Amino acid sequence: MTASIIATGETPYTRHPPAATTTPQVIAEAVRRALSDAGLTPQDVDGFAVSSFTLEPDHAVDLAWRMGFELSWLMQDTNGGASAGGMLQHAIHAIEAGDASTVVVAAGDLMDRNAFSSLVARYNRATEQHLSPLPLSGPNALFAMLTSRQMRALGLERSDYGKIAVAQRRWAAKNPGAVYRDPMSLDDYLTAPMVADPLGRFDCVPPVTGADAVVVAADERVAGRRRARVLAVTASYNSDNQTGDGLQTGLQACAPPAWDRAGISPEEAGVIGVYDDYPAMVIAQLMDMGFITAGADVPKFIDSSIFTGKLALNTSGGQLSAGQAGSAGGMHGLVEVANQLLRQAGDRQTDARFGVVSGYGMVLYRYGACANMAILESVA
Amino acid sequence: MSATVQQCTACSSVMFPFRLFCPYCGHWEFADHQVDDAVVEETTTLADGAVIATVVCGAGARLIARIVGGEVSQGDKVALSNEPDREPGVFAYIPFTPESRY
Ligand SMILES: [Zn+2]
Repeated sequence: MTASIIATGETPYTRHPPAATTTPQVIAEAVRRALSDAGLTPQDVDGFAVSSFTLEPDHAVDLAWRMGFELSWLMQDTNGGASAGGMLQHAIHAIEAGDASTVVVAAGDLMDRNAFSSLVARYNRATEQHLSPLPLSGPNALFAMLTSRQMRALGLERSDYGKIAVAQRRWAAKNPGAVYRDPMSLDDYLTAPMVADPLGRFDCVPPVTGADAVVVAADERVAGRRRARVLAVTASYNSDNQTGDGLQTGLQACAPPAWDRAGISPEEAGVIGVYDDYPAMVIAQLMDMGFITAGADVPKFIDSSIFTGKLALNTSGGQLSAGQAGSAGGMHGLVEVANQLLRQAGDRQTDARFGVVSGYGMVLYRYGACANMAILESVA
Repeated sequence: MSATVQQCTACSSVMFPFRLFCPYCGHWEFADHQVDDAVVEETTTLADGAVIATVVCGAGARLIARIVGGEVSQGDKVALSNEPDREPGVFAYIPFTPESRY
């Protein structure tokens, strides 16, 4: 592929946004930060992609207009946790096709209590008609049952998931942008109030208001500067018609071609961003992407690779500690991995040459139906 | 007491929620199919005490339900209902209104 991420932007995440905050304003702040990081102005942008649950009544073109973008390529994505990979996939192709040369990819949401309640109640027709009237507000119960299935299948206990949450909290301590940075012990995790057994409070992401953006540019225009070259982006939608147990994601289908196109293996990835709406989904995706091999002792892997911090996994603290800014949940992992490869990850900087980001989301009825994966390389 | 699911008139596959094309054979004509009971696969108890379950009916479709009127365990057969407050006894409530099935 011939395009790279050259810059990133993330707004501060906040649990309680000021009363006058709007979604366009939050997204524009992330875009402003990304353009500033790139040393570009709005006049340099000729492609724009955005994902947001709370943008209405505006659409992508309204945002483009209000940010002064004059464009030859524009898209709006609706796939939540999988939006980053989807938009990146399209942006790369737009650049390769010559439709655009400097693309801003952004996502963000004003996610206060009201916005969150109405989003989860009317997520889609199936939720509105068959889940909300149970009553059920949000996907916690669905992922609680998925987690129970995974515990049985892999011999996992609550403390194993706790080690993932605790490890991510340790990374969050090094990220000034994370909303939860205080140290958390395994005991804190295990004694937290139950939300939907076996899920406790620290298995669930804190909704926050915020936005993320990256600038993607044609490689020949940015030669010589540090960048995160995109080696592969692959996606899978509705891989099993919601008829399985949800323990395999669409990554099982789209990871092999991604490794093949990038020409590297999982062992070569020095930093990994996995979509962490729940710890069980971190494990499912690590398995689908080949970081945990079939038949492996999963509790041992969690203990020796994740809990120790040996695996540079969700180095921002992930959504579990940094927060989930609605549609920006997927972009958050991409921004962090890009920051690592751009060598601008502050106290949590690794020396990774290759980075991997996964996206997962859009619960149709029982679990997520969208998944994607990007492989990037730090080049200068 | 029963719950309505969707049955493909070509291959007899059973789906829920209702689809537009049959995912198994591609056909697009369906009939309602009544299911009396299903087997409990998992349950979870919410902070307010409500019990949510995944149940699988004999024809294979997996449904998300709330357990009403008593307790169930994994592997139990439980009666299904599209009404939240019917007669006494344990049943699994599955929200469904015929007018909005498509
Ligand atoms: Zn059929």
